[in-house]
Amino acid sequence: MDVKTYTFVAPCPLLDIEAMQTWLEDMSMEGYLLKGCSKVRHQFEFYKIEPLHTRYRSTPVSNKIEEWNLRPNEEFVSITEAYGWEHVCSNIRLHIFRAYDEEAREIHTDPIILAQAIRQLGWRIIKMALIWLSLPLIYMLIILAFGGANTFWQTLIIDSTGIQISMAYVMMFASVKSIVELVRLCRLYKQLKRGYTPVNRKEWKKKAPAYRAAFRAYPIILCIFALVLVMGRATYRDNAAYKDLPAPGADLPFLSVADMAQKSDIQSAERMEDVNYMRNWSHVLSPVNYDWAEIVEVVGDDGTEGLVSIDLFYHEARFSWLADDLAQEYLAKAKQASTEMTEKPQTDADLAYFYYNVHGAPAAVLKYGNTVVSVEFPRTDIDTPTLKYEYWIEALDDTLSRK
Amino acid sequence: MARKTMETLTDSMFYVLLALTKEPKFGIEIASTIDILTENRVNIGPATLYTVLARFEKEGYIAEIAVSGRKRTYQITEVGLKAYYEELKRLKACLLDADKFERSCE
Repeated sequence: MDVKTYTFVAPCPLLDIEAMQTWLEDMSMEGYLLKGCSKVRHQFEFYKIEPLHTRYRSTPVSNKIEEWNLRPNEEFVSITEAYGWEHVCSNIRLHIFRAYDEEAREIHTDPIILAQAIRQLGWRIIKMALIWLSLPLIYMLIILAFGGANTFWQTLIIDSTGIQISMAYVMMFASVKSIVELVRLCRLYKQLKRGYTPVNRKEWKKKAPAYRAAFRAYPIILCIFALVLVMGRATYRDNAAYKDLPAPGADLPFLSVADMAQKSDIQSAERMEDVNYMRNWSHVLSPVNYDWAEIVEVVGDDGTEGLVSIDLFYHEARFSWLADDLAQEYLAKAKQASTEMTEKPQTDADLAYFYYNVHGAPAAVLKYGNTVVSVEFPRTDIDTPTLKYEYWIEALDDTLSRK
Repeated sequence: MARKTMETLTDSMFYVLLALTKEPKFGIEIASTIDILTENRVNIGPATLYTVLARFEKEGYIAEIAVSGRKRTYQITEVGLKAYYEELKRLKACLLDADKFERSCE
């Protein structure tokens, strides 16, 4: 027959050993007999029974006693059983024993030895905290190793707010919880070294409401802190002299960095992220990019005067994959609602696409190594050889292929 | 000045070593030997006993020589014997001092 069980959250810290033991004994007097406990959480499961006087004792988990499943060593269990104690459950900090016999010998009879066990548990907590704290460190190392060079990692790790919040949460959880526990253990350790014998009946009810409230609020507060930390970082980066990102321009597949940041900032930036938090764009831009639009007054060989306008978007990508991405994006954009030229100028470009844009103006996408250029000639209506589109393309080609 | 735990032995530690000086024993045997020897004046709790055994094993004072089911048999080592006799010498010296002082007051 299944016996109904009841779960309660401990009203006192796990490592307040005296309060914990007293609470369990009081629960027993109220008719709740401990059945088990959560390995990591502060939850305890009880059977409903007739009120019964029971003694509970707990001992710190140590390297010798603990097995991987957190059960105490069989020999230890057999010794405690020989003295009338039954092992009820274990969590990551304590083994909990119960005796129905009032005369059963105390499981800890030497405060100095208990102090040693407490000290051992303290080291264990420090080790666990270091393991948890190493996770954000690994995260940072991955960013350093792959962050700037790989779109996959960039998207998965650097741009993932979820992972950043988790990391911030882990750091705070590991630090705050471990510090609180270590302070408590240190206090008990010092008392024990002075010969203090743990009190078997400790008042826990007074502090219980405050502890329960703090216990429930703790994860929420940590989440808020983590959010504030991550969002604060984002806000800081956004506000650091950058304008709001306008919607992507109709004629441009990208916004150039020059649109968003000061030139001096761009030049001093180590990483694209430093000058541009716009994640959707950052992986295709590089700090040396610029756009140039100019209307030039020119005189042709035959003396014809006129105006020529040039719109040029120049990107010098730091990596070849970046240049490829960039060129492909421009190419895709160019192929939308445009007409490819039938007579194409000769160039030394690795990639060249000549077309007429939606307004009928000649344009080209050119790629030379890591340099990508998208150029348009909105006004080339003057029929002079030196002002012709091909002339400018040739000039551009000469400049860029020599580069 | 506070004593370092392994420099001088606590009562529990001393009696555990004492119980092992003549022959290897397993956990409960050690505890019952101490109970009989001290006529229940010194009681060692199971968690205390186990913590002491673990510590001694780590420090090389004792060695586990056999495992039979849930029982593990421990034997005192040279290092453990040395520590035991040093502590015994220290305790005897304390007793002699106390005795000398009592006699001088008579």
